[in-house]
Amino acid sequence: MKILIIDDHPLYIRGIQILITEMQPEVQLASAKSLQQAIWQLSQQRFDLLLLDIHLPDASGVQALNSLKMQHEAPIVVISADDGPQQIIDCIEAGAAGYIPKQTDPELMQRALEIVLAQGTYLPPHMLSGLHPSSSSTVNLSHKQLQVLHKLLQGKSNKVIARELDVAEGTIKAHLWAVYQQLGVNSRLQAMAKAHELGLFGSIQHAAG
Amino acid sequence: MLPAKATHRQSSTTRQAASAPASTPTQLDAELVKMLAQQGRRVPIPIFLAACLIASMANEHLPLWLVTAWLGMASLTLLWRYHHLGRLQTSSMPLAQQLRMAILLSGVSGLSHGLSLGFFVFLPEFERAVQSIMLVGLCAGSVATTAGFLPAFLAYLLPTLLPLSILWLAAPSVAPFWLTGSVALLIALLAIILIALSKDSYQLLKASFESRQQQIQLNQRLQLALDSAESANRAKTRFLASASHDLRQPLQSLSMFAASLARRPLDERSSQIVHYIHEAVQMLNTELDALLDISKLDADIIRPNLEIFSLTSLLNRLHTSYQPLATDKGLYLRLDCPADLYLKSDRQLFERIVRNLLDNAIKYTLQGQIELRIQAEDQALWLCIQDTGPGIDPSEQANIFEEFYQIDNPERDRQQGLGLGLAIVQRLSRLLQLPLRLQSSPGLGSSFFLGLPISPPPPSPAPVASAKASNATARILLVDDEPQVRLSLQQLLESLGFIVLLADSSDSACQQLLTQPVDLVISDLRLRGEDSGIQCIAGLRQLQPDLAALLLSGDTAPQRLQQADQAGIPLLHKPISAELLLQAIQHSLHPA
Repeated sequence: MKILIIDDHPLYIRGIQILITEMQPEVQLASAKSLQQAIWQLSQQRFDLLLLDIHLPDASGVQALNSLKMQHEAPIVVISADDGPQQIIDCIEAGAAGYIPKQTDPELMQRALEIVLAQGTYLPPHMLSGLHPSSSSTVNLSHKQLQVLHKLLQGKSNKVIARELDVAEGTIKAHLWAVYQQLGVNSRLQAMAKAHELGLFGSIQHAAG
Repeated sequence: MLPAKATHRQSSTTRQAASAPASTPTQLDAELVKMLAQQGRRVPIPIFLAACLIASMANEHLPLWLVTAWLGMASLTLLWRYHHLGRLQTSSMPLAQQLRMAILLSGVSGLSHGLSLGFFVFLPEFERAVQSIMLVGLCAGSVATTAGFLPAFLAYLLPTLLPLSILWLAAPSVAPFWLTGSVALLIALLAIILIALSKDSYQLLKASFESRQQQIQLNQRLQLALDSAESANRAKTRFLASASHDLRQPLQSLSMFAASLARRPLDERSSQIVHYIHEAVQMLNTELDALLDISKLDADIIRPNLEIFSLTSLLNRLHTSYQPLATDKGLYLRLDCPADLYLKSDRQLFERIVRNLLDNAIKYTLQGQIELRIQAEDQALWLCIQDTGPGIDPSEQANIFEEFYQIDNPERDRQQGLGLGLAIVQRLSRLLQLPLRLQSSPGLGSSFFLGLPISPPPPSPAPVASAKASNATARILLVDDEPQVRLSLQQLLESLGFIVLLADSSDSACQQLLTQPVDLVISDLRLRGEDSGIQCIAGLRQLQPDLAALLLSGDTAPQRLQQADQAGIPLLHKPISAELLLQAIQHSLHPA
């Protein structure tokens, strides 16, 4: 697995690199200190996951996220010192596959990294418990629908999902309709939180597995 | 020490300013000219009437041509003075010259009135008295119209009252000498009094002017002080932001290095040391957070973000989260909260308060239990956190909320933290405007009471079932070029109780409309090839002009939004939930 870490604090990059290497030694890590460098790196090789600090010297916030999404299809997880709810919502809605605040406890941080390395999505706990309890009885998603949801939460566009699952884009759209209705949600963030709440992550990781 | 010196210097400057005249001579003179111009123009009518009276009295005893000549001259000087005083302010003459002009005008006025005293000798006693009354009145009035400016006032006074007094003394009269002499004396005395009054009036003007100047200067200084305070505040905020960012990164890195080390195979001793490093780092993290939080709260940066949230689920979550911590210490953590309590406040900040209070309770209770419960008191609901700890002496109760204050920790044993928890609780409760009370005595434990901002539960989204009743017969024409989407949308709409017709392009949509009318068309923004939803709807509206329409788009490109906006058709974004779609449909069908 190849991971690109984009952060302007070299010490922090070192910390994450060492931690991830201890957790999964076979992972290959590269780093970039700015958006420019990141784009250069992306042009040199394919990565499976991007870890992005959204406060870079040459780009900030959701703008950085959008620039990277245009370059590359890999899921992007935001790791940032800012844990304001609005910032998190903005990033998820812009297609981030997860958000790990830098202030997270070391243990929770390790779990978060584990989830993210396994292609799952991660949201900090304080984002999950606050969302309105919508009408959620039992949710019955088919295998295909789960797959589509998982890839959506990873931040992939409909086109990419369609290509990966080898079906028409229209089919993907139809699946998403059904999934959103079943979960009773209106946005990516809500879908992510709902999936988390219902413990779909377990079955999602299995489906993607 | 720096701030203290600065204020000292400031106060000495103020003292200086109070003793020395705050205004320059020029400024005061300019003000004077202004007043002279204003006041001098107020009284032309009464002066004219007085002159007429004198003239008509004199007419009885003197040739007409003489009297008319005098009246004419008096009126002319009156007009001339009025005109020039008006132009005085806006003239380009230097200030000193303006003042001289004002004195001249006064003098001319005085002379013209004083000349009427030429009639005095020819007038009988009664008329002489009337003339005297007029002149004395005009003189008294001129104290005001010359704004107390002595040269101008004297220029009027001397040609009028001085000859008047002399005439009473010297002119031949039927009245006894002692009477006329007394009148002359009194008039002279009056003149002296008027001069004194004039001086007072001028002093008053000067004082009021100076006080106004002082106020302007004070305001300027205040504004400067305000500006510098605001910029200091901004600098502090910037410092906080950068400190927070810069201190955290190395700390986080440290924590990750420690965690990495802990995962490696280590001998027992190394493992222990790593464990201690880990603990130290955690404590550092917590206290840094607390320190920065207090600074943020003090700098007034934090704005509460109000929302309605469930107190029950918040307390349940905290209970689960703190249970292990309590059990480790052998304490029992109890929760007693009704099932459906909602609060309106900032969720994160409120949770922070409760967390800090729980942390404190657990830290200081050695045995027994900690209870979280809801209590009604004083017609309000309170959250009570009660522990069976040592209790707090009443004399200490105010102190514990101060930063860094800890009872019984004179050696500052770091294990107990920096003592910021309750300080944060106090500031947060003030920020959220929640009352905070403490009930405690030594040996009987402590109870913290937090006032609760109870709110009715949030409105739940309208259940989908209600749609069916009102829309049983609505017919919707669905246009989309992708068969899968058509199918799933059709299923959805039919499940909501609508009758659905399908089309995959503008042409087929029009064909459908020709066979039967519909109530609403829902079209995808992009159809096959050059076709578009907007085009489709436009075509359909030619057949059925008042057809309600909705556009669906998976695209968020601005041009698309603009196009839909310009066409005046509501645009919905895919994917969309059943509730939102239903709302949009209902709104289109029944625009109320």
